[in-house]
Amino acid sequence: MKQTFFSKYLFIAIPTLTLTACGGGGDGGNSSNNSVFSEPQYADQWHLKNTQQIGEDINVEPIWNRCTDDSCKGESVRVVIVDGGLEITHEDLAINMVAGKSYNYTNGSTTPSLDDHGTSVAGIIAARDNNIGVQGVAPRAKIVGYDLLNASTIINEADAMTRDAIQNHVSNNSWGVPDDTATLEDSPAIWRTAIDTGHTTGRNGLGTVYVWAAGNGYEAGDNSNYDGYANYRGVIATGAVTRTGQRTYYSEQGANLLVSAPGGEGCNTSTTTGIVTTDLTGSSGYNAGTAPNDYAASNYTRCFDGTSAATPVVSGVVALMLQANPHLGWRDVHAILARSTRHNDPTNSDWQTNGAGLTINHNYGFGVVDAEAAVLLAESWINLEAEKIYPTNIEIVNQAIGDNNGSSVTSTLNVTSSDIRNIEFIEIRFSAADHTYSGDLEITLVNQSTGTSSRLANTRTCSNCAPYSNWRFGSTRHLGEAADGNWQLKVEDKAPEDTGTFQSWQLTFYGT
Amino acid sequence: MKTTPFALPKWIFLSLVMLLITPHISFAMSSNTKANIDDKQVEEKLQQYTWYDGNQKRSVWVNPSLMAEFNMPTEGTTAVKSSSTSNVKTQMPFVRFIKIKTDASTLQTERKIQGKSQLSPVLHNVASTTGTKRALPGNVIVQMQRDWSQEKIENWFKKHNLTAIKPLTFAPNAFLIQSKAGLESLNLANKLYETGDVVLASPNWWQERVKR
Repeated sequence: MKQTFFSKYLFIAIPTLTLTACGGGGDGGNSSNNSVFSEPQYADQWHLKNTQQIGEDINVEPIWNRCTDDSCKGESVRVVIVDGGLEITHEDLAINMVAGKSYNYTNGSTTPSLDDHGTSVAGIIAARDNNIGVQGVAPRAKIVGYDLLNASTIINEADAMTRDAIQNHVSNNSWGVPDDTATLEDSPAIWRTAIDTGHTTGRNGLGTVYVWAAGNGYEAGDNSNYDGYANYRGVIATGAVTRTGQRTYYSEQGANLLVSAPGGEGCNTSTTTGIVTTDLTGSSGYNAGTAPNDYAASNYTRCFDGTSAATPVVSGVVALMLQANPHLGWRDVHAILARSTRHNDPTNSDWQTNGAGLTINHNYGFGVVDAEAAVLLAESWINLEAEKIYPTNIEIVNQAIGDNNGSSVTSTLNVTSSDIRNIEFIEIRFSAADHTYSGDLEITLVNQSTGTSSRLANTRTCSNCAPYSNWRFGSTRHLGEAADGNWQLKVEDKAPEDTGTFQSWQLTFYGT
Repeated sequence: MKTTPFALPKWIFLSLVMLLITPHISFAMSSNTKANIDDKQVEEKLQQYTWYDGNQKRSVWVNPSLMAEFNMPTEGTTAVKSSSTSNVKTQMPFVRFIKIKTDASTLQTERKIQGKSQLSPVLHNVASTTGTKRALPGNVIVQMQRDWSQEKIENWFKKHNLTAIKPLTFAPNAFLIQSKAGLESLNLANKLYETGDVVLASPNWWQERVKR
């Protein structure tokens, strides 16, 4: 969670907020009465239903209203919250917890650590529709929690991606490498292997769906493509938008972003601008019940934000999709999300239409998730064919990059006979290892057949720039385009003093 | 002529003031340039090690001022499992950082490493102590070639005097190999990778990760 609301907003004394209508504990939600409006804090959950900025929500109510027996709210889907832990006995989460299946990485028990962040993430996904507190996107989804972040070894990271993979349909990951350095941080090879294993063994071969926070480091010059977890092809990198549908001040851009979702901004005292969700019971956690800008009911908070908050929104939507069509493969989920998004922030200048007619934006991916559109498309979807992978040869360039003189070095790869007519993802390997300040470089991939461009790296100041030594970038932006054709990589040094060489690059296409 | 405090002519006083404050102005103006950000890297000549992440050779640098202490069981024991009277709120943290005030070897001999506490240097991915932290709680991950049989793998382990703790389910033919914490695990991983017999040999790094 962004710990910035006190520094970003004036502290204005207002009357203490109270619960509006409390159902006295509810009935456990076993009956269905389309009670979407019965949760006491529902009116503040603008990400579910935005009554002030009409349309700036995830359009989930039509899905909930489709079933009178609660069979459309994710009850056959299990989501694992990989985080710092979560409160498995929380009044609004407990009934959805799968007993004995959470995991504590410090003591090996099935009780994860108590953690405010993980508890808030869990509530966004699956807070029960029970007349208590708040409601999750998939209020009947089953949830488990792994407190990986208390013991973040690479073995534990890999384990968290594959533990109970057959039963864990969706893996929510609202964490990552530090966001405040704008430097390159790769994922361990063994983690990527674990993700690949999750794809081949999860959900009995259909693949666990991994949702990943894009990162909160925009103001530090960070980009999601500098993060080897978020830019891996096997995850859904998720950006965050405000309640007016624009990129939050912290949400990182990236050619690797697939979608965005409401992530909120801070804790405005008059209008709810954060994401409303569960908090640790009692005075623990984010809300002690005494702050004038948060609820008196301290088991909930209106102040959660970050790409941490946007990510579980997407996880909840994926749960609804898998409830509607449990036969979707993980690649199908990615493809459906990209094709069912809402085109938010229409005046943003970065929107581009790619060669397949899909609109894409470095701030938003393909746009903000639309739960109704995603579920309807999931129901009628014909699964993608088996994936093809086509790596090009490594192109040796070895050209000096002019130092901040307006010139650039370009290299073109001519791809033929790839047999990939519909790209799903492109990996770009890039080396300029001798450049003494990698932050100087602006790097852009262009499909010369369609004009679609992917800005892979921006010139920025990094507190500890790591060199581009066979660095792996990722791009979702060429979804649906053909791989065959001319692809150009352009490298420009836009800051003085440091120099180096564009050494080599390589493309790997994934698609059908 | 109007004079200033201390009865100096105004032009002399202003000159003296400018001489005094100019260096500070220059520092403030340049404090955000990448030259200043790099000063720390230049100043700190940190000890460098390499390791293999799959087939990628990577460098790490030792932080001379910090050690990491891990509270984790030796594999196969339950040294750190909570007692019946404890609960998750009071469990010991998995890792904590210790500022090095004494000679590191002295510090290490003061600790009894018996599956209760393991020490490691703190390292960084970049040649600066402000980079993301990582440390070595012990043990090594090895992944053998896919076509190696169980017998061949066991013979290879014997040949290299390795104790396999358990197979790893998230990668084919991958195992957790026993090793002490600290650079011993890094050196063992490198030695095994450099045999050319394995797909991967990596120390089981602990890495700094953040909630978003």
